[in-house]
Amino acid sequence: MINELKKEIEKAKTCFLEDLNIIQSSKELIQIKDNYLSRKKGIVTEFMKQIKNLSAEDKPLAGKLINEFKVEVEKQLNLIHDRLSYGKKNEIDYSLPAFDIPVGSPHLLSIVRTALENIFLEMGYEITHGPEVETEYNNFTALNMQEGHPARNEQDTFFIKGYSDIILRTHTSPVQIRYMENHQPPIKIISPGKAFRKDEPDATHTPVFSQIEGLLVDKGIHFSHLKGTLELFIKSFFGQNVSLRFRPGYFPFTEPSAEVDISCYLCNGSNPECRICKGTGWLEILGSGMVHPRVLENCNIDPEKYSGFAFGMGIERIAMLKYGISDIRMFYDNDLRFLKQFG
Amino acid sequence: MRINIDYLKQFLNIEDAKIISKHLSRAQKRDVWKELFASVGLETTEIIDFKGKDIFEIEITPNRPDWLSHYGVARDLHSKLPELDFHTPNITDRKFEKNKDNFTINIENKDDCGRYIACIIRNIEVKESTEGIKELLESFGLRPINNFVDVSNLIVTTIGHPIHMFDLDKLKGNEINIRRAQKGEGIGLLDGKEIELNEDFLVIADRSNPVALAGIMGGEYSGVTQETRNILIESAYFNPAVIRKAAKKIGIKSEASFRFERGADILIPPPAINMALDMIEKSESHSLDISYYDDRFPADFVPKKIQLDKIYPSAYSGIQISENIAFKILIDLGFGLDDRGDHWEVEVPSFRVDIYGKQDMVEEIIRVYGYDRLTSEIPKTTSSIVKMDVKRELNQEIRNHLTSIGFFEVMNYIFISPEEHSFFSRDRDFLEIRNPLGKDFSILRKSLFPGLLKNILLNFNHSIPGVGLFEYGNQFGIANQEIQEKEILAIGASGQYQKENWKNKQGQEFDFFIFKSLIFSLFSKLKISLILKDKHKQFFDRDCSFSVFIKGQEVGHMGILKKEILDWYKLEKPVMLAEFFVSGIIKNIETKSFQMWNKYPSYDRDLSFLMNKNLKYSQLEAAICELKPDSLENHTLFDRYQGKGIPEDKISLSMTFSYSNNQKILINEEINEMHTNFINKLIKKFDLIQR
Ligand SMILES: [Zn+2]
Repeated sequence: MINELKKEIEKAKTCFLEDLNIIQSSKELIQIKDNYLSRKKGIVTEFMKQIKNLSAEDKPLAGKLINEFKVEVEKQLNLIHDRLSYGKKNEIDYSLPAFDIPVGSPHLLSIVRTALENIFLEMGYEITHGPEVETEYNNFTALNMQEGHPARNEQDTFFIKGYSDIILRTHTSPVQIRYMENHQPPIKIISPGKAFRKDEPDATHTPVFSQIEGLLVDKGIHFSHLKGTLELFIKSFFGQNVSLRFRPGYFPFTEPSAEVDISCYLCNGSNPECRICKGTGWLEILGSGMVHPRVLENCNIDPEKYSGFAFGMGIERIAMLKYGISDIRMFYDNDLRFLKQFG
Repeated sequence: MRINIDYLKQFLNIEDAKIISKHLSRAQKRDVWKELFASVGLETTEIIDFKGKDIFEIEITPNRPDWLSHYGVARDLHSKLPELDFHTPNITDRKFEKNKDNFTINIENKDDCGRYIACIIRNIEVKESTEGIKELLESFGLRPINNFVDVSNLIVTTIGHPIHMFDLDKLKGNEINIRRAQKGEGIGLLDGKEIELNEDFLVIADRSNPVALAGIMGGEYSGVTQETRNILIESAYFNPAVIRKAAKKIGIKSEASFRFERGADILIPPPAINMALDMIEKSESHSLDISYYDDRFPADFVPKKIQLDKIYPSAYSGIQISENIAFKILIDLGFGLDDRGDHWEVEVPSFRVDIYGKQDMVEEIIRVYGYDRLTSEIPKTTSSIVKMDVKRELNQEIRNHLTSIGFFEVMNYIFISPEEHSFFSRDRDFLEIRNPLGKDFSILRKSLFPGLLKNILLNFNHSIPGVGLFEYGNQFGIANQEIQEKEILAIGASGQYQKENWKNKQGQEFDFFIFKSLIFSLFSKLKISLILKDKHKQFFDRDCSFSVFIKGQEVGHMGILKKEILDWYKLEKPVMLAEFFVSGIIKNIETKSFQMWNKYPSYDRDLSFLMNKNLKYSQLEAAICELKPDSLENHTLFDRYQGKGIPEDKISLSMTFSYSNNQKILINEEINEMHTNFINKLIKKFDLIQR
């Protein structure tokens, strides 16, 4: 019995495929659909009626075969229906809304960091990394901050329990030390990453923050090279019309040192109530300078032969300026209402 | 440091500078001063109006103790305003009769105390200072005390050198000893603090006891009071490192320690004490009865010399600076220059403790010449090879994929609380911060899950129905006694995955299978195949805890967060979590070579069967991989059913097996034989019941 049914279904399948070829209009489609799927006298219904004559153990298989056939018929007829109605008016309201497909965002700090990195990659810099748990030597001493140096303020540094000289790095400069210890010039690197200072969180401080620092060491590098490089970088990131201001500054690891301001990209100093620059027209953006000869010496690079410049900036600070964010803690709250705004 | 513009004028009358036009308003002038200060490196943090006078609060960088006075600031401003006359302080040149008192100064170690001047004045009267002096001190933010203390304070703010005054009659014996304290000694300071001393402290002592902490603060007992009739004035030079260490130890930051620990001028003690004598004489309004003056100067002081090539300032700055300009600037700043043909021998003044070498000379010159005159040049340095940052590329790709399937990237602090740590690691090999911001931030994370869980909770609390998050970050630990830092990719999800809509009215909650599928989609994007193996982790639900393997190597874990931890975080909906070692992923990124695809058709065979409920699909799958014929290309589970019509202890599974051979067309009989053989092995292995 079941074998007969199987054969009949196979036969019906073949017929159906032939029938499909002759459908040219909706009228023919309805006709064929009726032949196969009509509840009263359709071929599928006829097959179903045969099930009751089968033995109990054959029933499930028969049901499965018939259903498969039915599904196939429906699928093919739907395809033809779609083909016939293509471009024709029908009842579907295509103005119904789209469905929400879940989409996330990278963290704003990743976005800004990547953008900054891309500019320096274009300029031929190599990206280097180092550990977040560092030695005091790499973080301070090698950078011309001997023990007791006023800039080596222990209040600001997290120390690791059980070690006398291990800390969380307070800037990403130790990455440069590690690199210089293992490479002779020319050196052209940037080192992005996290840094840590013992600050209670407030609108302008978090104990964890991100930095990106750059270093170039070669023969004949001078202070104007630093300015040119930073100018190119700043204009690439903030826009052609932004100008740069160098101010004397102090960092133990550079000599001469310069604090760098950019002209306010929003008001260019024209708005006394500007929310970005507070009316000053200038924004403090980074610290920089010529690498101190002692730092080069500490890394076995001859300061009589080579010179170099270094610069560093806070990625949060750059992001806050560019996106008008007033509270640095937002970067670490991970509130979706914040995160989803950028991408 | 407060600068009273009016008071500054005695050294440099900046009102006469070319940059000041008579028509400027007070506010405009303030802006000019501020710019002027900034141009030498002095940052104005606040401008205060004191009785109609402008007081500038200025931030002094720690390398420039010589800026900690009106005189020092004026000297640098003068280099910027060479058209003005710079006036050195008017100090009487006194001759002293030596040692009428038979007094002695004993310096124990010249490395601790390089210079010490003591001067005794008798028959003085301690009283209030004049209104003029009191107002001046107030403008600096200092409280007037009496005419002697006020003089000390005035000397500091005027020329930058801290002097100290003792009540002579409180000192025992005719001697001052500058020595290290001994264990067991102590001192009560002017600010009321009692300090226990030891060898780390340098003290000024009389014959028997310490009477002051050198360079930091005087003792209360020996201080000047209304009753004081005879005083001893100290003007000295102490070793910065010694003062710094001691001040730090007792947590005191005084006007004196602030200067001594940055480095005082070893040549200033005589003018400082003479200036003090002039001021005291003025306030006492009669000539002083000085019975003792001695200047002990045991330090081997030699001025620092630097050889500076005349072309170096131009070469190092990248702009043309003429010899004359460079020369003039350095002279104005107090450097001595000796012309040696192609270079100068520069003598560094004693007050410039920050100068190291010729690079500093360039900074001095361009600071005055003007940073705004620097040009912009791009260095020609190029690398011999462009190094691709493989990890960055991978992380970028992962970030792109995860965000496009609905995950948000987060960034958390790296420190967590001991309790959170204990949920995710029972080992003792973790790192702890000695001086944390609080106990809740004291452990360096070994897992990134605590951060993700807090973020999930925060967003649920903002009525966000579902969250999928990921974070890149380091985990910290100790392995083989070495500190280890490893980059981790952590992923977590909970709550709603897909919102309901007009067509699908249910929406979809995150469950483990959706989570797993999303993660598998990431790895199939990376062309890496993952294998999950049951492995119990203390933080995952016992039934849903897996280790993740790539090519036999464990690279991470995933599962459903255990109920107890969920409760602790006050989370309600199940949280799915996964962590991967980034290095484990990178290792398996390969450059694939082209493979010709299989040109021969593939044939499907379906199989429905009942399996014992206590078997896991993963076990079946493992057996399939082990037993499969070479031509079995693919297998998929397309139905799973338990319930009505199926015995209690069984589940019904339906699978499709696809056969193909890339060498030839398989014929029907071949496939059937292969398939039958294969499924018979499976059936035998697991007692399957074919349907
Ligand atoms: Zn602005």
